[in-house]
Amino acid sequence: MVTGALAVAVIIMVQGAGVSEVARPGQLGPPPINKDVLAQGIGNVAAGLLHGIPVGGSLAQTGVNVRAGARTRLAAIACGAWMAVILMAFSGAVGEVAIPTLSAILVYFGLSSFRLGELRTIFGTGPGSQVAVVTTLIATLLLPVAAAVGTGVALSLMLKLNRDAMDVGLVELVPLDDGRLAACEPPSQLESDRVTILDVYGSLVFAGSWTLQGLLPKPASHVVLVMRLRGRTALGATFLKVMGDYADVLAEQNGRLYLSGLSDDVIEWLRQSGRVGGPMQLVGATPVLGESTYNAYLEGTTWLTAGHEEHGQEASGD
Amino acid sequence: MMGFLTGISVNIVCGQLAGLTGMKAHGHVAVDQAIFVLIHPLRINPAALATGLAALLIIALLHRTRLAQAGTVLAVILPTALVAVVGADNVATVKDIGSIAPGIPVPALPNFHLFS
Repeated sequence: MVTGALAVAVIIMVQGAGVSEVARPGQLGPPPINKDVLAQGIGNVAAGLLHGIPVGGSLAQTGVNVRAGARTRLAAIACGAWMAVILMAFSGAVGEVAIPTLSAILVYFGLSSFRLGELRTIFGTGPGSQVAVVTTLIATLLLPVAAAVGTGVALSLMLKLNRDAMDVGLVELVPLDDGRLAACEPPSQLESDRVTILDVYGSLVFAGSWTLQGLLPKPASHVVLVMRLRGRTALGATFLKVMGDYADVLAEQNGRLYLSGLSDDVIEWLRQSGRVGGPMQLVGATPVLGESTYNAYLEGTTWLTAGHEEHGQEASGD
Repeated sequence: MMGFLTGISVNIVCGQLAGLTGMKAHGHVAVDQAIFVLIHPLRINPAALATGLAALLIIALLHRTRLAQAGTVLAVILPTALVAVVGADNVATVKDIGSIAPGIPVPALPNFHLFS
């Protein structure tokens, strides 16, 4: 019985959340899903004490309610009160109601709850949304409600991760005489005997780092790459692998990688990974934007002109 | 969300086609039931269908008038009254699904022996 009750509870919660989001005449702000779910729970417990069965939010019934003029929760209370009156006075008459009329009401409000305008808008936003809508729609038609919602959630998560991963961009930063940095298109190949500075935009979590790997310029001999990572808190194992491998490739050709703009937490995390030192150098962030990147640029230039490898030493950052 | 909510609307409409046409619902999901109704047109109960369509008509007609709010209630009462007056016994009524005990239910503790 407990598992059955839990299943019913999940279904009620999900359907209620769906109704909360859709049917809110004239109310602004995010839907109060917590309150609505809690209210359904309390109501069902109370119903259980009165020989009732559990119920949940229903789009069709809410539609009927709203069209009848419901604006606040008094409508639900009034509905309950009227139900009691009708039960007491007219239970015999209620039994005589023809079922096709009730079906007709549900059909009418089911049809009028189609939001063709919104559907068309969402369809127009691109293949990601199209796939999500169609898949969730088919899942809802063929699967039980909870499974359909699970499908929709999983799909949305996947599509979002995919979108974030695709949305990674590189920019080259060129130092000006006064220490400022100017942005321009990144090179497809690094130039020998030069320090190149790159800034990264977009999420580098999971697949984003693989996208980055594809965007990194081809290495050349005796180069330094400075990668600006200011403001990043989540880098992850994939990033470490991508940049670690890149640093190794640079080192094979007498080059080096500098990561600049790093917060203390990130430096700590990178040091613990054991890939830091030698080919991969860390430079900590300062309050001045671009300063640590410029410092890395200067260090890299000095290292290049000094022209020799170092063994396992770390550059100190500030 | 949109796919889910659209699916629910479709399910609502499909699930009610059997009731609207006075047929017994056969099918695992709502779409199955709707398809069953569509491919067995000879099993449609004309009296039930007429009742249902009359209700639909009443709601639709009153929808844009001042009586819109009463439309739903009238859609239930008028066709039901007609069915009763005409005496069409083959149109299913609520009491065919279950009886409603008169009076309001009295509070009582549930039977905890059923807990499992």
